Amino acid sequence: MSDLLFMLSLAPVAKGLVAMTIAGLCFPAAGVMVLRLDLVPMRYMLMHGVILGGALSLAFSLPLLPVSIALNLLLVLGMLKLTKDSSAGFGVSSAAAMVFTMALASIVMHVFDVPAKDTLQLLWGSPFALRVSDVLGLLAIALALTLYVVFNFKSISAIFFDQEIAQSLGMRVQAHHTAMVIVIALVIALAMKLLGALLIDALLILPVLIAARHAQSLKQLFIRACLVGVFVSFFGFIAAVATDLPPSGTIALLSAFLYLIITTIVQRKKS
Amino acid sequence: MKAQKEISPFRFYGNFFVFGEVVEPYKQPLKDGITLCVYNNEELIFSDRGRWLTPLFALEAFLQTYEGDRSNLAAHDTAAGKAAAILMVRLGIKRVHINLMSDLALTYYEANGVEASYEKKIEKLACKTETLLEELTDADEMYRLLRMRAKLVRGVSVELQDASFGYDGVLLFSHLNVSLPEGERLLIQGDNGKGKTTLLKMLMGRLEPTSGKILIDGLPPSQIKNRTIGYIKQQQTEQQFPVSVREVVSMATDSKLSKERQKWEIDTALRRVGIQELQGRNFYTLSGGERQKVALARCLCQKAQLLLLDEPTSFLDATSRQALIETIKALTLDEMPTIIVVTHDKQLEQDLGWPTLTLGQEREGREKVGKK
Repeated sequence: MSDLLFMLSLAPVAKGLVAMTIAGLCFPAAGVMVLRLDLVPMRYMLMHGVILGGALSLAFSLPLLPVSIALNLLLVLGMLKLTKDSSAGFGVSSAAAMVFTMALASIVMHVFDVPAKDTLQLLWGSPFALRVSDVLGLLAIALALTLYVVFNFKSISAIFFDQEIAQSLGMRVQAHHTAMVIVIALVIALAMKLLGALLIDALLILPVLIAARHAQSLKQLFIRACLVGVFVSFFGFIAAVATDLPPSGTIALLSAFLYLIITTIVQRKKS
Repeated sequence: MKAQKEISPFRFYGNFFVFGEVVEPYKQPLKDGITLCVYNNEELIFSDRGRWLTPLFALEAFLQTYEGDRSNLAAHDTAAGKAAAILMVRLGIKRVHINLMSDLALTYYEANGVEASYEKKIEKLACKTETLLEELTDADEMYRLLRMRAKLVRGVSVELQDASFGYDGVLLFSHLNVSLPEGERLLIQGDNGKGKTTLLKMLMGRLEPTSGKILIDGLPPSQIKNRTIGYIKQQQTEQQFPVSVREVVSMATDSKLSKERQKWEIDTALRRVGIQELQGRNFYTLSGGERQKVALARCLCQKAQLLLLDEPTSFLDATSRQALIETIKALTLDEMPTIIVVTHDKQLEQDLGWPTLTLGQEREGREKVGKK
């Protein structure tokens, strides 16, 4: 126990715990948006965007996080334009952007001799390597996400319910859609740094799926998803530190385990 | 305020002069320019100085919040034609004393068991409303006519002027002319592919007519105020996503209102359609009929002036269908928004009894629906 407390008192570990708690508490709200707006393909595209960002930042010795965030924003805006100008849906635009980013990343890695292994390393995340500025950036985005949801809850619920009805109620559906997509892009770029691309689902998607099992309202869904998120990220991180396992994997495992338990209980109740 | 019974020394009463009679408070002369007095037994509960039917509509609003006994209401009015008689009967007035009453009014009072007395009786009031009502017998239709003449409707006018729509060389409908006054109702029927839903989308401003014009409240749909149109879809698709009934209804409240007022609006809308007990439930776990009720509550909360219902009875069982029809009918007598229902349900025409436009059989020229 004293070893664990000692570990937690170390600055990189403490920063990681704070960051994971903030992310666990707020990022599931973005997961609700991803699932409800059917943006799962976009999430994969954004992961590829981070790989391209990683390749560019290694090639030109640029800071990874700002480059990834900027690139993801550009990709999202490009996708929105592509979806608006063509009859292709968001899924098709995401697929096109995914192919484009991976192709560009491979060319950048080849031309600038960027080791693929180093770029792919980014996919595993590094919560112990966070700087204070990273934590502050994370806090700012978490705050922006929370405020956006709290102050626009009525519009968000209407858009989630039915976009045609939201439009007939005079809501700015397109503006909110763009805002939500941008928020998701920012959250995913940050989550990548924390958890790694392959394990984003642990913070974004699984808490929402767990919470959706019993929620009767959207408000309940947001609150419960965030509570599940903070639970798995906090205790998953502590468990990782205590057992000397990678935090991303431990958190993801805890999420998946919780999801399995809840699903089993619900199915047993039904049968 | 308690009125005293008065001993009339010498008084013209009905067709007779009476002497020494005990006069009920509601039969006592109206004073100080008052045109309508209403008593609950001997207690004066309402009075007004307005003209025409205004005092009776004010009384209707008053009675909505009046908590006293209504089993023995009595009224004294300066003049009553059939219109006043219709309203008084509707408001539950049991005894009336009218200074100047028409034969039509007296007949209506008597037919509805109201004890009526008068000071002077004439054959007919010289008034357009009296003429319009002369031949009508349906109480609800007469009431609607009065509300429309008094401009006490929430609805907006809807005009289709020579409107045509087609795409890829296929003409869905052409030269469609419809004129709906405020608060009127219209049923649009037609087989699949005749453009029923397209017409709704045009009214919502999501599609432009190929030629001709659409005007809502005198404006093109793209220029009308937000929240004017309440849209009820056929059936929301199945979703695993939780959204509560209260959340669905509350998304339609006006954000400019205070939180307390918004809460009141939501509670009232839920109560009006009888779904208070469902408010905490996930919308997607409800039956088709319950979902349509939620959609109606949403539109009530929105205070929509034009209600567009797209195949509202599809997939509903007989009980839910009947309940929905009753709710829609009630709406046409209360708020009176303009309502357009699009359906291929042929039975609905009979059930609602509304003017009907059949797409695919539209006539050249003007379809004027309802009376103004």
